[in-house]
Amino acid sequence: MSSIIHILPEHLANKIAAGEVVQRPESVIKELLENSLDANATSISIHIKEGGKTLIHITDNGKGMSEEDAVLAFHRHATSKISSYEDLENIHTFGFRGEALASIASVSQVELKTRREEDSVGTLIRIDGGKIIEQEKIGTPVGTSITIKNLFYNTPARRHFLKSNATEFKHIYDCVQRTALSHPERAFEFISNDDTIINVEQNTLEERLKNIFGERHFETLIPINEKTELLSVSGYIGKPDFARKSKVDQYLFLNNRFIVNRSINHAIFSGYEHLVEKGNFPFFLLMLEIDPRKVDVNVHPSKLEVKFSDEQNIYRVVMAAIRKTLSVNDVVPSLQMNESETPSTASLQHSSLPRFFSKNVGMDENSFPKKNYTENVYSPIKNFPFTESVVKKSQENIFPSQTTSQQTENVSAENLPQSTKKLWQIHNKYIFTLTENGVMIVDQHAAHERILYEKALSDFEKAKPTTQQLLFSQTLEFTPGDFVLVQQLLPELQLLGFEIKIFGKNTVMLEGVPPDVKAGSENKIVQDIIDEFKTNQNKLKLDARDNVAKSFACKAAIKTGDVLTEKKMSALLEQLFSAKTPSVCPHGRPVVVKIPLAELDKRFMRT
Amino acid sequence: MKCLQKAISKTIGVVPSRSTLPILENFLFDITKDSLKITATDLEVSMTVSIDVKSSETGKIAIPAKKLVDTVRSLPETLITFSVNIEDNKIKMKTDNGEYLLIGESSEEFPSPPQFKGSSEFSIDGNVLQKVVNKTLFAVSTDELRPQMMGVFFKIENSELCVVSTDGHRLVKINNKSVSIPKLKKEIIIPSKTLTIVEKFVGNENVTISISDTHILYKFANTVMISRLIEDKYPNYESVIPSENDKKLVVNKTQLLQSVRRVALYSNNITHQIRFSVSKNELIIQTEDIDFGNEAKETIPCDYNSSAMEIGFNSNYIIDILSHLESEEIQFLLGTSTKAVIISPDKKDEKEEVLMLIMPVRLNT
Repeated sequence: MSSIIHILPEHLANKIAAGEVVQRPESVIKELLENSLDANATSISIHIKEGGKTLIHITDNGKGMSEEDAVLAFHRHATSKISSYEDLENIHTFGFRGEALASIASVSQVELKTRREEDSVGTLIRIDGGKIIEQEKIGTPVGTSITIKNLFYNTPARRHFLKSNATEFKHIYDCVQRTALSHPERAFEFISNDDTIINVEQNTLEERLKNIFGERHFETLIPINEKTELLSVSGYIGKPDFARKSKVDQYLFLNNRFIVNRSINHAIFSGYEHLVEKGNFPFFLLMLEIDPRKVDVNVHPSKLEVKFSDEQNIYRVVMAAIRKTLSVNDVVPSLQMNESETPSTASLQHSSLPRFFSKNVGMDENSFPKKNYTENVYSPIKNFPFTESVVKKSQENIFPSQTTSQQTENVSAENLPQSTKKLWQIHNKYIFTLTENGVMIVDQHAAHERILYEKALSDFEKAKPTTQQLLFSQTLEFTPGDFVLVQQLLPELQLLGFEIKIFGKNTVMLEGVPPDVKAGSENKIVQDIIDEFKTNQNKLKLDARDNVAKSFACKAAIKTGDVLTEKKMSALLEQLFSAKTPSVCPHGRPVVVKIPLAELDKRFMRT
Repeated sequence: MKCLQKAISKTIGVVPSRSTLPILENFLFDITKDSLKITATDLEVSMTVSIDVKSSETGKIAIPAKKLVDTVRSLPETLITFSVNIEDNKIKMKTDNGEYLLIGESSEEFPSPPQFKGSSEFSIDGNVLQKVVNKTLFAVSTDELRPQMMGVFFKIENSELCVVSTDGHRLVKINNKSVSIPKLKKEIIIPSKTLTIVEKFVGNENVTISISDTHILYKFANTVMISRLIEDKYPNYESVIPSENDKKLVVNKTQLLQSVRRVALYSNNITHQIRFSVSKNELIIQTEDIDFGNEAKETIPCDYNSSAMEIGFNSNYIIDILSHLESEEIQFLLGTSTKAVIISPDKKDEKEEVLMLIMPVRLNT
């Protein structure tokens, strides 16, 4: 024979494919778990020994297989999950390639027991290195139980690449945990070397999170739930100040499949708008639901990566959802020494800031006599001139005993009439004010920046700019590059309230400015905005409008060093707390820092 | 002692509250046999007040200004005896029942006043000066980017005094014909700080003003004040005063001012925007603050000669302008809703022509 090319025998082909699909025990677990999920099992038990190297045993109560199917299942490209190309375009199941079992069986010793509900007897199949060595009828519960022994026993090279038992265990644990998180409606049991690691009942996502991460951790999460036509986003995201230094707690599920996608991760971070510092990563567990036709999961054998047909829009939806969720929940960082508080105080510290403020204001306006005041603490609700939300809050969040101690502390600490406004400007940079249970420091520039930024964005939407007309119109000259940019941004600038006319080569005439622009700085601000715009453009990939809004906010805002009158300060705070995201400036720096009295007490060792 | 108190409470106005040069936080006491000259300066303005004293010695010393003012203010009417040791800069103050020791600084540290060579000199009625300053000062810009607007523009020509101030959003122009300044043609920009002092301390007495190329010197009562001038070109204000505004609105000033004040309470506290809707006999002043949902509306009678219009303003500017007009009936001369509006007394005053200009806020609603 002169031919040197020949078709590989199937068992060899399977071993080669196994190199792709089965990389370590964790891959086996993943494939088998997905099979169980696809079989609609509601209870799945996983048992491993020595990091899965010697034994992997998975039992489910799913549909099971007929004897015929059970045999067929171990053939390559044998699957019940798709049958036509159309199915591949519209995948609802986890598996679909029909490779996993064949691959696993070719590199291990497999024992499969399965029975369908309609069958009276089940099937037992034993396979060694890809060859069926035993096949018989046995009695077994409905569902499938599969045992994988001595993984990679016949591929020593691969076996040597396995890491320590602990490492392989960690991988398996992560896999099981992810699966358990994405399927709270199913029960999971995970046993390693006879130790029960995870044992969770069928439950809601909330309970599942509590079971797996603990109640305390759950307190740091905010539920998220946004639906659009393209995509629905649900799950939980972590409060920014509980962000961790590592990326461990990040779970992204697409149609219940765990995926890794840098683009969506980036969208989530952008959604946080740098509420978390660089190098910190927030917790998130996001369930994305999308029409399967709009996503290709057949990109990589492990199916961790997916391709979206409309990645940009998905990016936008995710970012908007995160942003919205964070903005309706208070996320002001508060200085805290330790977190070992009872849940109720923890939630108090994170309850919404605007309410704190409005309560304070409320007290300012109705300065009641002290006696009346303390009496009312005990019967707080009736005839009490607080706003409804405040009353609600005191009912819900504060135990009566706590209220008393806080209030008395407050009164004795200040001993001032409640009607005095408590605002100080320090170093012409920060505004200092008292909150109900501590102090609050506001960065004046960042605060104004946030206000202007949100106003700019709403101006863009309303398209009804107001303009302070200028007495002396200003001629502004730009470099040719900047001039082109000005022309490009002209519509946005006009929406903000700038009245700009092109006036010959590289020159524009400024006839009006937004009312927030400080008198006198008109001629500088346009150039400043252009400069800032350019910097932002290089640094961040921002949408042009967003960039204009940010640049405008940054440049038109009160600067550090500007002296503020009491009136201006209170106006600023009032505006700030009616903003959507008052706690962070458009650049991502915090605007407000709260120091609870408890923290000060600790510093002075009063505890 | 009353004399001393009066003098130092004048000069303390010049002392900078926070300065990079600590010596400026002192008064310079220059003592001769029968007079004491107290000088304070912030390097832009320097003010010297002379009072009569009896002294056996002569000499100079710098004395911490704030401590001295606070001490003198809290003392009852009494005689203070100062004894100064030039060697160690110790100043002892003695009253009937007290002794106070202050540590001063050597007088050599204290910056010497600017050399002044006046070229033109004239005198002006203190009351007139005070009045024009009062009416213009509020519209001066505080923005350091356009220093020429940080002062008040004085133009003397044909025995007339024309005083202008603007911050780019509003403008005040006063033509006073009652001053008689013969044969002088001069245009200067005076920094607002010195005018604040002038407004405060000038009384009925005549003020003698000398002007050099770089400085202005005022002499009134026992006080001499020298201030740097803003050496820059004042913006061409005449060109921005519209001549074609023919829509005339006449309204009672007090009524309007009070209405605007009330309505403004409901305006957005950053933009302070209010809206005038003008029709034949009715002026509606209204505002809405979308952020907080606040709204207010008032209607006052008026006399208006043209087709109805709406125009937006920053209420602070309107309040400023109205509160600096003396006349009871005032007129608005309107053009379009984006063009400058002229506000002036309805009845012309022969001696003094007052014109105030305000730029509207364009409302796109």
